[in-house]
Amino acid sequence: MELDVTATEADNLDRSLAEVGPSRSLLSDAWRRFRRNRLAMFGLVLVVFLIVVALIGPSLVQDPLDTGGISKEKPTNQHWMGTDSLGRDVMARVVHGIRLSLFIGLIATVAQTCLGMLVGSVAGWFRGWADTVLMRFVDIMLGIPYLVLALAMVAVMGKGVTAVIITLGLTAWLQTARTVRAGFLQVRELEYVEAARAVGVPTRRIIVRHVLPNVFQPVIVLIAIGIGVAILSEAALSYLGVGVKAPAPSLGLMISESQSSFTTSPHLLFFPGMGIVLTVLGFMLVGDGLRDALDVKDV
Amino acid sequence: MSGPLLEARNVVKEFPGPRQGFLGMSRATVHAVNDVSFTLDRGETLGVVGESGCGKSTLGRVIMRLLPATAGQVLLDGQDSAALERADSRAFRRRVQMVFQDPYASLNPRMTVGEILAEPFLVHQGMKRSASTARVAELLSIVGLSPEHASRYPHEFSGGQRQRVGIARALAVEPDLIVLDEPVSALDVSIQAGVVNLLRKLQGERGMAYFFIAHDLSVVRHISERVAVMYLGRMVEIGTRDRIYREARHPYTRALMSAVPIPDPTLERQRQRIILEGDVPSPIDPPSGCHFRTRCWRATEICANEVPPMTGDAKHAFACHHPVETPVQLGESPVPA
Repeated sequence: MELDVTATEADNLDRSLAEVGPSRSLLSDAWRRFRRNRLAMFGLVLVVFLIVVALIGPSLVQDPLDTGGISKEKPTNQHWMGTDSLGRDVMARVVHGIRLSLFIGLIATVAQTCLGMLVGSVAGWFRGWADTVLMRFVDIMLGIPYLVLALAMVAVMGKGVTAVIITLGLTAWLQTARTVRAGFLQVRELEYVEAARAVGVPTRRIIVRHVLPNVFQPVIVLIAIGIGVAILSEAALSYLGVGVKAPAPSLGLMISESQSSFTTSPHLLFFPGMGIVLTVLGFMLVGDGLRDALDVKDV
Repeated sequence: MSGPLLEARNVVKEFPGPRQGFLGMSRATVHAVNDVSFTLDRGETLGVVGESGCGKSTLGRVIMRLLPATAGQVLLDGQDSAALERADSRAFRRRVQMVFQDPYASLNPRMTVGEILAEPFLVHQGMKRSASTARVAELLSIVGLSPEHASRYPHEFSGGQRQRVGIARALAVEPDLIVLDEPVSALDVSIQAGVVNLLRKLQGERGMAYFFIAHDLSVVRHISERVAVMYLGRMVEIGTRDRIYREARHPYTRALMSAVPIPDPTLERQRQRIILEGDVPSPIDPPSGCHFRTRCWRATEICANEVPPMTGDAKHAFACHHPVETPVQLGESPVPA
């Protein structure tokens, strides 16, 4: 038969394509794209550097609470970033401040990501009234100015690192929830999810193995950006006096304390300010780079 | 066991349509599949053709129990498939499998081909990944790929190769029936024949039945023993391949066949096309009586008033008040007999 002749040829043609190049996972592709992005690599180097500073820095600098120095001394050989109004070493406080910022940013972001993914998954998978109730709640929360919400929560819980982490975690999950829900709504209709159902894969495994990995890319971007935002928010709360409590070395708190003497002792503003800028910039650049590398469009 | 492997009895599938009326308080109904009955024997291939939107894919998903039927029954070996699936979903899925239309969308991009093919063994036999490696390798070679491909991701393959992976996934549980939802229509023509031949070869070796959905009449002719034609949710004609291709009685079937070009310039020039007027009516508000009457050149008053019943025997049946009596002319049939 005519069709069979062409069929054998087609078979060979298709088979010959079977020799594909070296295996590339989607992640290694993304890493290649990320590496080519200079700004993103700069951000990554910055983040790694700051993590190193946060991990081993505190053992290299002086005691951030030691008030033994001269008040408001300009940078010297002994105090590279000078001293503050109480004679404490600014460099030690900045290093400890970065450590605290990273700690708060990381924990708050992990918490908000878990909460956002849980709410988003439930809304996007079950749809119907669960979706309506959860998403209207998210809309209402998004309608309240962020700082008002944070101030109200701190007023209830009191000041301190734990309170700041809880506040940031409970206010930042909204975007994650929306993104994850949108991803679920889209992915659950795709043919490979239907194919998994046709094979007989149980629902829980479908969600964990087939849907979640495919909605996770925008979440990765949101995590990187979220850490930056959380650090900035912590600084803002501490600056407003509702964040970390006074003797603790918080970058936002240091800026707030330096305000009165900013014209005479600019180093008190400059160094903690740079600390915040570099940390936030690092995470934002990494987030942007990831967005391009992972080809995420909706964040 | 006697009796057909699969029997559909008056299957109806309706979807809620767009909201309409004051403040969207009422909802239209989309009649996707409308009172469809047919049988499919063990090891047989039933080709289902019809233009897009005629409900053939929906019918396939109802058979797969990916969608519940609104009314009617699908029997598997004489037992209600809805009850079978409810009682033991996995046991049902071991008997009925599906190959999807879009080889780019039907494989999870985050899983390697090996993981995709190991999943049926994990779900149905509790086999760990390491235990099923040999089975996965066997599946890959059965469909003409090599075992080394297990570590690759779907995006590294061509459409035809991906569809082979989709077929391998369906074969893993050794089903009695595979629903093939336009398995080759998304592929290059040069690749189509290879996949169709693979399907035929596998059927010869393993004897499963195919419910083969397509819109390409030449492909259906090549692979099917029996052919069913659907129009706007209803089955209008069903019969053995030769009866359908040589003696189609329903005007819609004739029009469908006349639209296929002939791979012979001399015959192609003589081909007489039946040009249908207008578009397919909306399945939200299908015409009364015979659904095809609004575009049929033979329609009379009775076609608007009465739904034509399926008449005929197991070899050939059609639903028309005014069937075409003459056999299909040379040039009217897609492939010269």
